[in-house]
Amino acid sequence: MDVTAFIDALTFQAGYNTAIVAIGAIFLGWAGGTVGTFLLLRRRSLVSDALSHATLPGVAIAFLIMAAAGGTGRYLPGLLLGAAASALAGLAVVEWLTRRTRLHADAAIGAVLSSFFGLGVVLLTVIQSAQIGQQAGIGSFLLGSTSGMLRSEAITLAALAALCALTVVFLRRTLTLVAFDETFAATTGVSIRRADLALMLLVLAVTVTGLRVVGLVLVIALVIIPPVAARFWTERVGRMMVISGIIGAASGFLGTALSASIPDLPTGPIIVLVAATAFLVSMLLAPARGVFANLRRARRYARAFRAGLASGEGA
Amino acid sequence: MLNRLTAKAATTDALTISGLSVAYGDKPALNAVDARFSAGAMSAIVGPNGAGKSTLLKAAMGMIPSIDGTVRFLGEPLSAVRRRVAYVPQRLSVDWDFPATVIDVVLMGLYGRLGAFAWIGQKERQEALACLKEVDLDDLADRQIGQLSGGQQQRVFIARALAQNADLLILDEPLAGVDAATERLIVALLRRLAGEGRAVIAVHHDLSTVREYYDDVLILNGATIANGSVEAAFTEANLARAYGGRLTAGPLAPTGARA
Amino acid sequence: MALYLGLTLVPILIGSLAAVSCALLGNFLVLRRQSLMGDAISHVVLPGIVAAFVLTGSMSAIPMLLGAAAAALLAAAMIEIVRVYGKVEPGAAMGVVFTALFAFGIVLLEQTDTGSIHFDVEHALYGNLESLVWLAGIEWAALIDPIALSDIPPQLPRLAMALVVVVGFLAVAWRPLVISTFDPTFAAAAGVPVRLVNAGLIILVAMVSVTAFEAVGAIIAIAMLICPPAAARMMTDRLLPQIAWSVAFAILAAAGGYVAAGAGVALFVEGVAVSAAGMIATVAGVTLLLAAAFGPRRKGAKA
Repeated sequence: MDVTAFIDALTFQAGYNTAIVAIGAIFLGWAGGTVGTFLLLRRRSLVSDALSHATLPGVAIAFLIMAAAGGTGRYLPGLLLGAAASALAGLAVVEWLTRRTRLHADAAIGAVLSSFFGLGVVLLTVIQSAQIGQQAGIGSFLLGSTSGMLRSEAITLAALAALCALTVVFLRRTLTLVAFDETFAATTGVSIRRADLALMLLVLAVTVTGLRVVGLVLVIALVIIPPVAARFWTERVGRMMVISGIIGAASGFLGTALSASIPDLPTGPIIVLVAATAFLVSMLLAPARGVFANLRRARRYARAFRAGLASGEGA
Repeated sequence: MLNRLTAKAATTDALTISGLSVAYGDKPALNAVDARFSAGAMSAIVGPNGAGKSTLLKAAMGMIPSIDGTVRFLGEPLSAVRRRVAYVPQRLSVDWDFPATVIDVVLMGLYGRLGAFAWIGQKERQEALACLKEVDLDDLADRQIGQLSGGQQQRVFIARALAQNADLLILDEPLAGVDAATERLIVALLRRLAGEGRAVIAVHHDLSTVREYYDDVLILNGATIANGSVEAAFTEANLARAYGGRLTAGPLAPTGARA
Repeated sequence: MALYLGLTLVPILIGSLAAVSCALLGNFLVLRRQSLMGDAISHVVLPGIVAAFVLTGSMSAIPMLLGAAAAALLAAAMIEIVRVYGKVEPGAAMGVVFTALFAFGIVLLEQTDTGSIHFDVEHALYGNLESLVWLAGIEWAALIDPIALSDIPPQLPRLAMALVVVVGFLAVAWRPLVISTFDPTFAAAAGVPVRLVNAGLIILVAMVSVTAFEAVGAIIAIAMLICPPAAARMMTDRLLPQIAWSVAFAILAAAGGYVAAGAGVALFVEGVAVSAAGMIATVAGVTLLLAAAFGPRRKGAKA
């Protein structure tokens, strides 16, 4: 690893492109961590898996439409719009399957993610073999890629991500209420359906925004890993949201810096691995809910118990 | 009655729990619980919500780890007598939309005796049907289990336990959410099993029926509050200790309906 | 007709074998509400295979199988540890573990000298079923010609063996598997080796994932683990008929998808290829949608 390159990247000195990508990734990580907090509390983390895979047919269709209209087909906002539309369709199918049939969420999610992804692959192979438009880079939606990212693209992504994160901060009380106590929320006049829909739209927005950078297979890590890591440090939702946002942003930043300083290191997977490291450290070492702290407490209790010190205590 | 129990206790304890302690992390769930349950008797485990009733059963069965204590089933460790012990989980712990018929579930009770690889033939089906007849469900044998009422589902579970032909039956809330007819049927059946010399231990919620249904009782609240015959242990003082001030005098008053 | 045998029937057979193996196991994943375990495992197969390649330097079947099985077991254990010791909700625990391992696999792949491995991530995701043809099999006589037979794509016997192993597992472990799927608490109390059964199921899912993966891509494995059993749930309330339905749906999707992909080629301009794997997954999804809309038992006991 090239240490100077790493430090350059960390201090935004590694060139204009790296700096742009880093800023985009920071915002993206922040948004993912913030939105994901409520997704985790609502116990729906894996819905994001269906959403991200369901974007692929939309990306391909948008590409085909734009190419048919005479463009290159690579206009990013157009592709993202297509991604969002088909992810929404996927979400609708998941909802329909779980509400109207005997299937549970896991099967509905798995069915949607695999068949929408299959449809996307069908369309992609058509695009690739028919040599429609300028298809270079369309494959990067699978695993993400930051090379050759345009300045306008990076700015679009950063703005979208920031918008998502701010919306969550704005909606946090409603989302907390619904995540914590559905019944109580309903009695206070909060519409659970509307709150859930808002949350899903935010997850969808973050997912779509992250596609270009992290790719559809791994983008869900941005909304799943930071909040799970943050949960170990605190018992309070507000703090969890902030910590999760920080972990996400730091992963985005460190990930892009690492990928800029080591050859052949793809940005998306590295961001995910940095977040996973943060998770591992949190799970093992966090003083509040970490595994070591819990084990130590349990062992101390059991020892004291056997020594008879606790024998007078009731439950 | 008390005399009968004390006289038999030394030799016929079906389940003996001594000093059983369970903690979730550093939060104690059970604190040195001592309890004995006799063969030939029907015993209730009662206590407020969170008293550790299900935890006690699961820890005794080795399904969750305990930090201290010993448990003996029919005088032996569970592994030595597993086939003679039947466990009936809470009804709502399984997915009743599972693709199985009523008789399929009852046939699961034969697992301990037949082993993993046995072929289920006519003889086994007849045996399972006989168990279903005991709970009055033989005409629904081929019905999908999701189409049953809550009371009927609980009866299926009881029939599965009957198929195990066990000497010790442990039931987690067998009367929760069942209709009155089912409750009468299940209680009569369990009393008959106890009358045959088997031990029946059930987590029970309705304090007003304890005197009517059971011989012995364990009152639990994280620790043993009282354990013994209903007459001796199921007293207002003990219940007040277990439930605190949360109880009205109603259910505690002696009922004339004592069986 | 004869041309049909080697060029169409063999890939359809390969696709069907993969689909049926996955669907058989998928019935139990769906009933255990662990459908996404199939998704997670097919993702961690990638790091398993890459790690096996890095360690042994070979791309042959045995190290790949072992690597994938080890990665699957490791992932299952990690998910369990995160769930139990970290008190993390199962879905999120799964999401953390499989994305992290998949990311690790990609990085490992990029850092290894991939020039010598003839696979890339896209190939891994959606395979290349179209290329698994049996060129020597242009005559029926080839079926008894040992030289022609030796030219059959090796994926065919490999997947056939995987299917035999799956069927064998189901036959031998049927009762413990069913009991521990329906009521794990009772199963544990009655002495069913619940952990062993769970581990066996996970290992087999990994095994069919990796054999399917190598032949037809991860996407078919995931789709077939979930869609046919889920569609079969809509048709019946009995386990054996459900399994039979799932096998029928799996074959329908594999054959229908392959034929539809071929027809798709004809519809478009010459030279356009449509991914057969993608089409098979799509057909599987459409089958499920139809079953969910019209299946006689689509509602089940859920009100």
